[in-house]
Amino acid sequence: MNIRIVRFFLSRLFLVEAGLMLLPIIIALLYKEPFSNILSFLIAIGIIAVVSILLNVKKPDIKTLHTKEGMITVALTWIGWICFGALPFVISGEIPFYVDAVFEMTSGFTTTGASILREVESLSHSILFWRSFSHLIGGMGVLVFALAIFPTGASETVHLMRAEVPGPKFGKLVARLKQTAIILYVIYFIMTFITIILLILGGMNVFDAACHSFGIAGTGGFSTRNASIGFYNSPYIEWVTGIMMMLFGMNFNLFYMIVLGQTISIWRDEELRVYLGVIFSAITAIVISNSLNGIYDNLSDNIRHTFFSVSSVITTTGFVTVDFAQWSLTAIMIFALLMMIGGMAGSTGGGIKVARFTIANKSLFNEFRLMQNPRRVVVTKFNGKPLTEEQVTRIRNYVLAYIFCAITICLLVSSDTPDMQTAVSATLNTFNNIGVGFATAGSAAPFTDYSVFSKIVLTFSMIAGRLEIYPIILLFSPSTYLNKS
Amino acid sequence: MQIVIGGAGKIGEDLCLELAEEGHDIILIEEKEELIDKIIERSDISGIVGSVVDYDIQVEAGVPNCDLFISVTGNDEMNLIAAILADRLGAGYTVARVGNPQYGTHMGLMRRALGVSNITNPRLETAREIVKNLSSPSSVSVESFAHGRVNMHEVKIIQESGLEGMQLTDFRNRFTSLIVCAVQRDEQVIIPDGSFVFKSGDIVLITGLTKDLEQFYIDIGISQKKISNVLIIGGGEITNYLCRILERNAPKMKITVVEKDPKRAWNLAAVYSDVNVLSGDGTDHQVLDEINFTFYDAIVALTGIDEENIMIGLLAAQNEISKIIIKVNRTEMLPIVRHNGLQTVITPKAIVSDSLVKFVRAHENAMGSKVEALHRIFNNEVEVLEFNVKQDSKVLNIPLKDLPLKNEILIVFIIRGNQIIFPTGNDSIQCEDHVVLVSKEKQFDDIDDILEGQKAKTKPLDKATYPDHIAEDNPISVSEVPNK
Repeated sequence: MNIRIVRFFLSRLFLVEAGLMLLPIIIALLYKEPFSNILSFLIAIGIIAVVSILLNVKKPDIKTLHTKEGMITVALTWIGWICFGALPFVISGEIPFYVDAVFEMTSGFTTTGASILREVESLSHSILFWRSFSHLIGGMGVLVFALAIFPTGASETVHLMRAEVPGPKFGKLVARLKQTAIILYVIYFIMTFITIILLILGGMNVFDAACHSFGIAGTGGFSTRNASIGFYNSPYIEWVTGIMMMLFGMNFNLFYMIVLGQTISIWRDEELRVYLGVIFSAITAIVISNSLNGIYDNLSDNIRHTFFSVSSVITTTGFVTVDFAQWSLTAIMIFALLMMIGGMAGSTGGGIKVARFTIANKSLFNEFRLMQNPRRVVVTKFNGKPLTEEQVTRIRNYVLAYIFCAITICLLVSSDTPDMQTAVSATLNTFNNIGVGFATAGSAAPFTDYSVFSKIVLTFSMIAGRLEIYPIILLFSPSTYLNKS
Repeated sequence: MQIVIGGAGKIGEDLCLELAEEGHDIILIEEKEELIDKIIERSDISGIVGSVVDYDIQVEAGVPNCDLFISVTGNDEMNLIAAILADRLGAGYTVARVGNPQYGTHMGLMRRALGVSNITNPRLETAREIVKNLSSPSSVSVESFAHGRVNMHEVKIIQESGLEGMQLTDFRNRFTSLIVCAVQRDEQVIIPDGSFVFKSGDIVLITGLTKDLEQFYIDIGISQKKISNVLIIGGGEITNYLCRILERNAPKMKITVVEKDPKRAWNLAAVYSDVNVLSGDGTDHQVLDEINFTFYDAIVALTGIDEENIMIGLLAAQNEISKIIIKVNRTEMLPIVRHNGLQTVITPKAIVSDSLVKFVRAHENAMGSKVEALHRIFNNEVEVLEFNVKQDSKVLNIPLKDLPLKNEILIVFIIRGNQIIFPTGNDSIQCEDHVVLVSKEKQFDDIDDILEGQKAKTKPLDKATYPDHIAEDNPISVSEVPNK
């Protein structure tokens, strides 16, 4: 492996984070926070600068980056960003324990939204902002962001982006990678801005509106309120949040097509149809289940809360208005399924992704057809296009890897959890980057009381979920570091 | 007409023979000298050895002054380039054979953009021919006229039909709106008159309105059950086109394709979701049994090997599959397979040369009453022609009984506007009529050619070299033209 090129990229990518840390400093100045807050960010920036200079001592002579190096770079960048990003929490003393801070930061960058904090309202504005802002950058990807602002045009960077953009297939929007990254971020920022405006119109203050919008955009779920969106008790805000979450769970290429004026053609997208179909059927089923169990007095509350929760869970955002862990077990099982399916490929959501879910199902259905007639030639199609056996195998293997990882994480946290439901909830919650679960303690139960070991396991669970497993497995596999290609 | 033909493959060879026989001057361009020699032995053409896309060769072949340039090499791109080059050199008309389905989807655009007058796609034509045959379950072959309102069917007379021993006059009294155009009996083709007596085993060419034909089938006890399950053996390009057309025209038809090559099978399955594609050797009895092939209404054998297709046809006939269509590339095989008469035989090169001969005849006579449609039936012994009659024709306004027609010609029907007339001796042909006629004499390119004493273009020499041994072996049975 070409370590030098990895170091080269890391040093530059870390500097981007240092640059982003200037934003919470501005917030701290605006809200006239004590100098210790500003200092904590400045110290973090200083540490990043030193590390970055040290990494870049020896310039790489071979500037080629292959898939393996790309994956490792992505994994290390994320881990580095998380480790450095957690520093201000510790230095400012607001989250004194470093493992907790790392968990919180991971939850932020991976857009999970799970927290170790029992209450957040006492945190200072700059820290809250940094926590929520990490959703915005982590949602679209730190490397995609770096790519959009870096002046490089190296074709190697495609390996970086491929490892980071979620979904089975990575399609460039335009011929140039940098251009693609910029388009993605422009669409992303514009939609975020719209969300901020809509939330302010609903009566939120500007700071809360911005922080919540970051959470919606990145499908993260960190709130500035202990009761999350439920705090505002406003149907308007709930509907706006619910719908915007649903939009951010969609493939961003579709928005680009709308920008290009091909609005009609996005309805032909099979993944979108499945996505909307799953949302609609889940809402219907849960509304019926709630009515039967008499959870809500009137239908409009029932529909509103169900829509919000379904949207929040399938897009893996994790905002809450009600504790759906108290609903019927049927509803909880449906939520568990939605958690695993996740958002669409190319969105900011986590999970298996609707595309993979659809293809894996089709492949299974084809298996049945093959059983009826072994001579039959079956082809798995997606979006009207045939997939090669290789592509289908890759997706099936991903689903397998996903299941193995989930079971392993369940096993590792089992010593710390009181019951099966909590263990599965903690796993699905972190591994799918959701932020809410269905633990017996409640859907938004914080991870405060977990042991250090469990917190580290869940931290990796979040990173593995965000980077779609393989980069993290590659990072831990010894053969990566043996000097063969 | 000065015609330059590029490529001496199956189609090229066929075209050389046919067009030379029709009296055109043919120059053949072909890279392999021995192929040219082989054709020169059989017909009166000249050949140039070289590449069809070579500027010098084209000039040497006289392309700048020729009336028609036809490129039918095995390579699509070469044909297109050759045709474009010929067009720029000044050839009157240019025709390119293009088989690749990727070019096939926007023929009109391709033609306009490239300046090629006609693009012919043998496989697509073949697929269309098969579709036409599948839509009429009980006849051996089908031609349609007047946008499908009138059909011409080849039907085999079976013992149970009750027609055995019936005279044609009695037949006409019974089926008033049907016309028997020609009959093939024991390798011999007859244009029947009133005294003709049916025998079982005859294959008759019969025409009439679609609904009358349906009634006829019911009356003679041939089931007209619509084909709903088709088994196609071989998954090549023709099958690809066939599936495409059937998916659009007959969405309810269930199609099963058996293909040996897994890659090809995969490609088919990838494009056509509703087609049941099976991977296996369709000529293997075991495989056919496994898929329960006797259950199908129709079997279409489209493997690349003639003998395999013939075997499949025989096997299907043995198992009493009602509709059997087989593809046979080599015309030398045709007398053998036609003999049992149960199946429809499709010959791609014949379909293409038919359409090109029609093209030539239509363009040769651009001003007069030209050929609109040409079908050849009974192993090329009979031609069915559709003419568009113009005002300077000599046949106008004369009652048919007074028309001095040549022997062996039957005017089958006249399409006048929306009307279809099955004429009697008192009817006459009028301007702008479309006249469909059946003839044993060939090479008509104007309606006036049917009159006694008009030009006879056929050179006896050509006739002798043309491998139409059946025509030579059997003395023509002379019969009167029934309508006279």
